[in-house]
Amino acid sequence: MKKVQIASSSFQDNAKIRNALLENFSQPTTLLSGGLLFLVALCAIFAPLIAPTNPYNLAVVSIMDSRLAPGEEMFDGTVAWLGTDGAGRDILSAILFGLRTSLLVAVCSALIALIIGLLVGLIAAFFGGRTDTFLMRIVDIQLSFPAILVALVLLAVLGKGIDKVIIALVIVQWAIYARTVRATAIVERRKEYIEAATCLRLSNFRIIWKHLLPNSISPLIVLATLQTAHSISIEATLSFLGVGVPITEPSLGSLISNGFDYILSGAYWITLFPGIMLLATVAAINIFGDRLRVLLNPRLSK
Amino acid sequence: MKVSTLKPAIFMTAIAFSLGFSVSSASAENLKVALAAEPTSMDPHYQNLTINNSFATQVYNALVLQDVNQNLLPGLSTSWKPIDDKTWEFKLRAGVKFHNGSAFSAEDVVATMQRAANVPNSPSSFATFTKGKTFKVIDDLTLQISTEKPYPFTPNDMSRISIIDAAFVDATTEDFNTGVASFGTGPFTFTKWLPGDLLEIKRNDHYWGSAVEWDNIIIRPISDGTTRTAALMAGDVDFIERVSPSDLPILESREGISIFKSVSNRLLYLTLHMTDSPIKPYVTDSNDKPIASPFRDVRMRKAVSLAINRKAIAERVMDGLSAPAGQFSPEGYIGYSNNLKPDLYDPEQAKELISAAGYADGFKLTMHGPAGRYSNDTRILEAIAQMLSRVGIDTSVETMPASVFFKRFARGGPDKKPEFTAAMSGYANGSGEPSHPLRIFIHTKQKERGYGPGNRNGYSNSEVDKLIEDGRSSMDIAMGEKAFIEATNVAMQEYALVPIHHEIATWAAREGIVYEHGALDSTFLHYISAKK
Amino acid sequence: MLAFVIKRVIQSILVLFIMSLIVFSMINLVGDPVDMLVNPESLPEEIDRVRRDFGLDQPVHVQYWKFLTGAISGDLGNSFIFGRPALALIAERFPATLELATCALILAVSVGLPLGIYAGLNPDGWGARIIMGGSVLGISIPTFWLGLMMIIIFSVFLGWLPVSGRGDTANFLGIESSIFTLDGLRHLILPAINLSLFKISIVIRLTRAGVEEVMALDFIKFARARGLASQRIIRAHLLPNILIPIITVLAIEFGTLIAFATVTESVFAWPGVGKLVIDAIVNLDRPIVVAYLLFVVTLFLILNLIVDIIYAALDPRVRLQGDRQ
Repeated sequence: MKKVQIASSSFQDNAKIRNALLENFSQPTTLLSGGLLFLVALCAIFAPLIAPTNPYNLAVVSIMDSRLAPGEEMFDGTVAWLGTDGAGRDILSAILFGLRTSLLVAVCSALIALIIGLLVGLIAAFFGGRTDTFLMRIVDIQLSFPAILVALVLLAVLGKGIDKVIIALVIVQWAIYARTVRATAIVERRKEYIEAATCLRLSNFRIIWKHLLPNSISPLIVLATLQTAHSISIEATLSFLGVGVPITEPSLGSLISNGFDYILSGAYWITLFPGIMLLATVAAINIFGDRLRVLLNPRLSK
Repeated sequence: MKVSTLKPAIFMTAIAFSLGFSVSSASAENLKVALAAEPTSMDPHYQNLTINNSFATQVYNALVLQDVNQNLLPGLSTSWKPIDDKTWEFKLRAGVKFHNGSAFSAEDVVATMQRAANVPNSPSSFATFTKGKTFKVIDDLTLQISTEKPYPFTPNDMSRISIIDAAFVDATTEDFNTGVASFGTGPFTFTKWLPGDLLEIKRNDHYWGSAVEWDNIIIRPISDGTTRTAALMAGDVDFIERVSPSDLPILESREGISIFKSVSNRLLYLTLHMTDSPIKPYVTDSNDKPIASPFRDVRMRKAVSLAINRKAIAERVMDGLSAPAGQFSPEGYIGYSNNLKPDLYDPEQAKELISAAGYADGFKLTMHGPAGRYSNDTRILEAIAQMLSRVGIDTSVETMPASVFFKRFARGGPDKKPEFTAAMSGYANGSGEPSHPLRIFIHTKQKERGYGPGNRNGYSNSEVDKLIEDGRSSMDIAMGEKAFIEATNVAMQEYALVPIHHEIATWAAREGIVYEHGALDSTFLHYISAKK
Repeated sequence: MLAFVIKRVIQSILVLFIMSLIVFSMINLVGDPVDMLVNPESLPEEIDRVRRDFGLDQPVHVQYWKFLTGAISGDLGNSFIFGRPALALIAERFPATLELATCALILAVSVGLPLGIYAGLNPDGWGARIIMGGSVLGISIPTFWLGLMMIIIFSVFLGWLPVSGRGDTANFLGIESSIFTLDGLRHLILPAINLSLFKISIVIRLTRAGVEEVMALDFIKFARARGLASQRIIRAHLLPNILIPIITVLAIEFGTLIAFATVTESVFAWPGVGKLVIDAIVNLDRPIVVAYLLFVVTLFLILNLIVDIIYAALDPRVRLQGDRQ
């Protein structure tokens, strides 16, 4: 078993990786989710070009257009194919712009939190002792801070905005990664192949980077895809609680949470369509992340 | 004014009925009520907070009561009159007993006043209402209250303090919370309180006034509006307050639910910074350079008011639950001026005024407001920002939780000055005395005299100040009111504030329950009754 | 072992100290409690009086010192709003939150673990796809949205369950809880499901990932080759190997369940600590927020300690650090 792991984790050759990539990416689910993800990303990036109206321009948006049903015509003659929200924004445009905001928030915060968490977790697991204790106590403190308190304080100190939401989400999430990485890495750390690597006098950096990281990353990928999805929902919850992105520039999450107020009165489209978009995005991220996990895990790649 | 609309039931209601669901008919004796908040204490003198005060009226009485429109009514005092410029005489009600059986007399009033001003740890005490007053017992049922200066609002102040039995003058707040000391003279007696969960009160069979119908009332605090509506629809509770505007249509379309609405005295307003110092960062020219507030010019303030389509806000944002406002008081309420009407939407005139004031090229404005403090507050701000953008003021909106907003609103700027250039906030007159909003918002800021604590935009008019001060020291109440209305007229014509609307307060109940309501958006349980 | 625990306790006290310092200064940055407390109609001297009485006129370090000296003798201060000891308020509300979180955790494990194992063992089946799809939904739907939706469907339209609040409680073996009455259970169902859904999804996904990974390992292949029943393989070989990451996450999640049940508690008007603290944050009731966070950090420290001990028990390769000499 020891030999198998050393072989699979540290002496992978490029051809093997290429084969694994090809094999994985040719599967229909991977293609489908990858394609969907690509499409979603395109929509988000080019939102200002493809959206029928600019939902963030207050001089254009009018409450006289509020809560139009899908297909109705707005004052300026544009047809709102997916209806309008409570402030009179065209839902289709709002979804495209909101997607942009939500993806930006989710991806940035997940990425930054992941990098910080990964570093902290690996360092803690590898060095152990005082370093481990110190870092893990910081993690404990961090995990016990409610997201809303962090968001509130940042808001008070920095003001409102997308960047602040990202900072808040990073602060809320990094510790979760750190703790998970450390839990897996600490088990890996004691395994023979790491000891073997230490005996070979490989540098700490090399051991962490080449051996500890690839073998600890699997649960992390699961977590990261989950957290990306979850951070979209945290962001919506922050809107529900009155903090988060500015009301005039709604994200997908805040569109859903604002739209929910109207569901009892029958204006289902305000919350439904952004909801569908959110689910499609999240599903794509998760399926793709799942494939990525299989791909990156040395034990699962054949 | 009962509104029960019988529109065709929407599809979901139809499904509900086809599944055999029906509104459970609660027994006539017990009433279950869901309120948006719960009192912070059962001690009626612990905190001067709206929800505490409205709940206190159920278990306790003040000397003077207020009806739902804040008109004064006899309470534990049957009549009152000034006997000279600085003294009021109150005749007390005979034969009243506290819930523990002891008789009410003037000594209880004196003891109460002593306690009300000095509750330890009080986060907002009632000292404001007792300050400068001396209480003198003439006999068991006669009391004289003298003030240092002529003060016409002594009866108003006396309507704010719940009278307790003198035996409990030294009782702690905890004694009231547990029920050891909570004996009043009110229509209900206190049964139990499980904070966050439920509060129970029981009918006082020996109440001096007209008896209430319910044997017991169980109050549940449900802060989320949709959950509250759902609790009523599911039959978990019989009565709710504060229906969310967006939930109103479904309740109206549902059979077996009655809705009660009335224009409340809660005003939403914009305040616009009107001095040239300091220059704040929230108004900038096209190069993003901060400039002095354009709202120093009354034409610009008027332009803002004309640019706001109040009717559209009422219909589109508030689902009909707001009434356009042109002054502090809603029509028919104390201090209302017949000369002031809400501004009608006139974007053309607004643009002309902006040009005339020299801002034809436009400028950028950031408006601030609280999130979740008032009904639909952020949506209203967003709508106003749209409207201002349309007349050439490039407006963006920044909202924040109330805890952050109010600090910055009051003193977030340099030197602890108010921070914002344009901000939306709300106001409701708690005391029912007509000079209150004028003293707080309109009078020139003079901290040591208690004038203008809410004056955050630097409005100052010596003529208005004089009218307010004269009115507040005139024992002739009618004369005073005339002065206040005159001051209101001048201040509003100068747009000391830009009024937006009065919220329309709502209550909903299962059919068969009626609620007597007025300009106060608090809920007074003893006004809930079964339909005859 | 004992050395390890003692070391941890000392560290924990240090953590609590740093924590209180951070929270104290953070709350002071947000706003001024006096704005949220004093009725705006009050006279200026009333505002000054409150500020003085609550010690808010003092510089922050003086306030903190006062807090610290109180804290050492077990007094975390009185709530600004309720005027009662903050710890007493938290203790009063804690049982409601604990029962909600416990039920949610039990649901998460009892539903998530079997579904995750099933999905891991049959990764390409339709069942697995549905389970995994459902778990994506469970993670991405905001809790408040789902909670309100459940209220609308199960309480308003179907009329099966009460909308909100905690039901009757009963005392059993000295524990006062709504689990012991039918009415209490009826009130508990919706919030518990609402709170657990996210956790179920996480457990499903972690379990599935663990199962897939372990099933590919040689010792499982070996066990299969030996012809062991798959039941036995799961119990004796699979479960012990996938439990470690799941336990870590669950320990953290149990802490978060308790700590952050705020949204569920707000939606369902559940009289727990979460609701108390969210109101306290909104109203800047500093003593409650500080006491609550200290309480939660303590809880986390204890949970983490337990997790580390369980690690050692489950995986002999991990040695506790205090034992290392």
